[in-house]
Amino acid sequence: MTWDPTCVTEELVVNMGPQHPSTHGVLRLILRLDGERVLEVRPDIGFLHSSLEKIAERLDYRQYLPYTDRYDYLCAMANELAYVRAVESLLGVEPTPRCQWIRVMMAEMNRIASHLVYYGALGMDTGATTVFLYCFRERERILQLFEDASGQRLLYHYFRIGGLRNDLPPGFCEGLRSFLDEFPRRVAEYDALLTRNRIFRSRTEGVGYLSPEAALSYGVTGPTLRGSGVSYDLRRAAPYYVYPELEFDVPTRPEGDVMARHLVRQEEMLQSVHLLHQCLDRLPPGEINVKVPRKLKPDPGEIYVRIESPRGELGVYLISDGSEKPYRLHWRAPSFHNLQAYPEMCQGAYVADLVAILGSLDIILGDVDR
Amino acid sequence: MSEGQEQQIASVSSPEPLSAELQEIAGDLTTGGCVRAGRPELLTTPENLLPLLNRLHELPEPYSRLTDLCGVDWGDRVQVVYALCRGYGAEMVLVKVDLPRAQAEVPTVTGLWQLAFWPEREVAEMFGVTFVGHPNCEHLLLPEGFVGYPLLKDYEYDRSNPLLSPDPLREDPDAVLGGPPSEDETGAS
Amino acid sequence: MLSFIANWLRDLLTAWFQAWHVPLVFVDILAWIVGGVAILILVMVVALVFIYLERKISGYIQSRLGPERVGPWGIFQTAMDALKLLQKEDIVPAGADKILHTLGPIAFFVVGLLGYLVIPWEEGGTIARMVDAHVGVLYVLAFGSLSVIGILMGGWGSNNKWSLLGALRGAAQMISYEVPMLLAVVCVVLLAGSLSLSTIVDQQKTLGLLSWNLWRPWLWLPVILYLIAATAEVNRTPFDLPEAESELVAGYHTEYSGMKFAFFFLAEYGNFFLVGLIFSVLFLGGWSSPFGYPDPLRIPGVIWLLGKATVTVFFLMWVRWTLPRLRVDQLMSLCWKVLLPVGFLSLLIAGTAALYV
Repeated sequence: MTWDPTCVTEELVVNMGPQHPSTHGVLRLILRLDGERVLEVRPDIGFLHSSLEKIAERLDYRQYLPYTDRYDYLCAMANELAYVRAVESLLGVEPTPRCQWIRVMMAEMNRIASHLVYYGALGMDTGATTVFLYCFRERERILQLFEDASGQRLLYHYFRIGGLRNDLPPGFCEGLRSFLDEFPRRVAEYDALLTRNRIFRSRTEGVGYLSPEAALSYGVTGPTLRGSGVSYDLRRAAPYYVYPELEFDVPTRPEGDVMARHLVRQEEMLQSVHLLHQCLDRLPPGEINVKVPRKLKPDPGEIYVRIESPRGELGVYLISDGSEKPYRLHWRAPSFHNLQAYPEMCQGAYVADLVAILGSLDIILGDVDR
Repeated sequence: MSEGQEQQIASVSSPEPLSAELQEIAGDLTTGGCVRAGRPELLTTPENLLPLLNRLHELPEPYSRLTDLCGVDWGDRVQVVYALCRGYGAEMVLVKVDLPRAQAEVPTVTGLWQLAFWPEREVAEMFGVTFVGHPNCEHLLLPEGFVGYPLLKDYEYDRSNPLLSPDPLREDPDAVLGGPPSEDETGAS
Repeated sequence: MLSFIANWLRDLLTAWFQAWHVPLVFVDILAWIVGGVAILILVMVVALVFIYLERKISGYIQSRLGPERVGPWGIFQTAMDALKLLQKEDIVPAGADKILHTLGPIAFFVVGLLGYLVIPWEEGGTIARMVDAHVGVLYVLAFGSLSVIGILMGGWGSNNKWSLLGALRGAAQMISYEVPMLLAVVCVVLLAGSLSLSTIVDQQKTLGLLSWNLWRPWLWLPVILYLIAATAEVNRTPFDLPEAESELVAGYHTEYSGMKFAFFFLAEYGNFFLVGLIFSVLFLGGWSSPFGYPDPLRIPGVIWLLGKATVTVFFLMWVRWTLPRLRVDQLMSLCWKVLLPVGFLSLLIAGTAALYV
């Protein structure tokens, strides 16, 4: 039999999503396939667009706070932190030391919770269902602590402008400490179950490569960037609150593949544990709230605040015109920019890789579409 | 806490003059500038935008990373804001371009940074800015055929023309559905 | 026990038919029908039980409870699910090939059933002695590979790209893994010197546990080969690519609902249990007691066989809830580059052993 060069296999255009088990929400990917090979990926976003920036212009500074939770629903504390910090900077208010420590603690706990969802979801995407439930078992304990503190499991509304809703409830620190003592063992368990599994490694190593240059050009941040070997973490690069006083590593991996991003997140969970131990040890007593006026009317001006959310660089660009409502609020959403680099990573991938790569980006569609 | 932070809190709404360094680099390409909360801002025109960004990009210590791109509506003019970072550092400069509402056109920066593709599409659909040279400036977040620019201050939600493009059914239901016959027709019959 | 019932039934029928002057051919025909229905019921029950067990075991592995509400410990959960599926609307997507869409699950289900005919349930042969199983091994392998047709029909007939991808993956995978599985089985056949499943069991019964094929070092490779290839044949994790939930939505049965879906689902578990049965027959001594022959405990052989198959199935479930899924290219390279050479190697070893041991 001779090879006929004019014989071309038919290409298949498939819609992956908006309803699909592993697009992590309502993301639509338009795929052009040659058999199992992916020739082209085109993400189509906007299905979860909720006019978050427009809503801000219609509400006053305090009323908008609960909306920040709903925007990236897996790390509500980080969003609250960014927004509250922006408003407080506009107002010229500095939170009390205890408040700052608690905010950092909450943000780090939220980072662990968010990374646990990522961890389980990547397992799910590669077909290992069990690790997902293990991760949720541990996440449940963090959510329980959040519920004790704020009364909510997911959308906390715990940070307030000028302080916090309430001080930590009794027993919180003990509960957190017992969780922190146990958690590293659990991570070792996941490591053995998923990360060191041969099949998982063959599915993730060398898949979805993102070069540091491309990451720079696409504005990729967070663990996705650190998986490409760039040590950039806003907690280090532009520290806020008490981070300069805390000791932690910024884990990076040079490989730039799915496994590298995975390992970075795994290590970050342990670093957060380390941070939380320090927070618990050094948590100062004192007030949690500073007095802010009943009507918030910052002077005209603008501020750009950046923090390190579990997904990357979360920015808030807030403009005040001196009235009670923000004149303009813009979110620099980490998932939005990370997702934009997705087609770059999918070059020459298989259908199954698409899912793993998307999982390794850890996008939240609420964050992408805002 | 840190020194920078206190400074930042003290001076959010009281701009200071630009540093001599930035003044020297960008002075001739900008129409104004200030330092607000320790963060420089440069105001430029659409014609000078690309030369300015290129110049910032080619400094010995370049502002090589575009982190954010967004629009602001100031009533008579629309502002496009570019947030540039000095590598992976803390230093950030905001470059702002003022565009008249009537002719909001600005060159695309997609040639410099891949990041700009989506945010430019977003600004285009939300503010009605045209990015000259953008390869594919369709709607990104809004549905195809959406009419209006929702993030403009004077955008009014119009119930008769909500999310979708002019839909024949909504424009003139009778024409599509047959509807009740008009009076002359009844008269004629 | 089974043959006792079958003989008793046959004697009874013969007596009646003789009394009523009916040709005795009808005794055979009736026995075939009864046997067929018995297998159908068995497969249904087995599937329901194993779906329940799978949920309970996965719950145990994943530190959760599994079904709890319907009946004590949730034992009626799968039965209720099957009832629910019966009531569901049968949706045929627009543009689907109606005939293939309907035939797909039926073909898959029927082929799954046929494998059960030749299993030696206890001493003396197969259920109701219906099939003369001199070539039982060949028969099982032949029908095992037919199930790919049902998958292809369903995937192609659904007019859905995900289904088509799933079906193509299924076809590629099942045809490929047929080869190492065959090689593994041939090793056993070589040593037994017979294609009859009953003979293979007979050779493992004398010393009970000790005479199992599993303990023969020259059959260790085939044991592993068979387990891997059989897992791939029944499309279970790590080889569940044809229905890979996170990639292909539900693969070839994406567009199925109601009873047609139930057919796919039940047949899948039927096939799964069949793998357990065949493994027990080939390597674990089939119906024979592990304590020697004749069985000192006087437990019917069919119980032993079901027990051994359940243990095998449990092992495969354990694997499923532990491992991630392979990618399609890795799946193929594993089959052709690793399992196939190992298969030939084990054939060589088994052949040598058959000659000299």
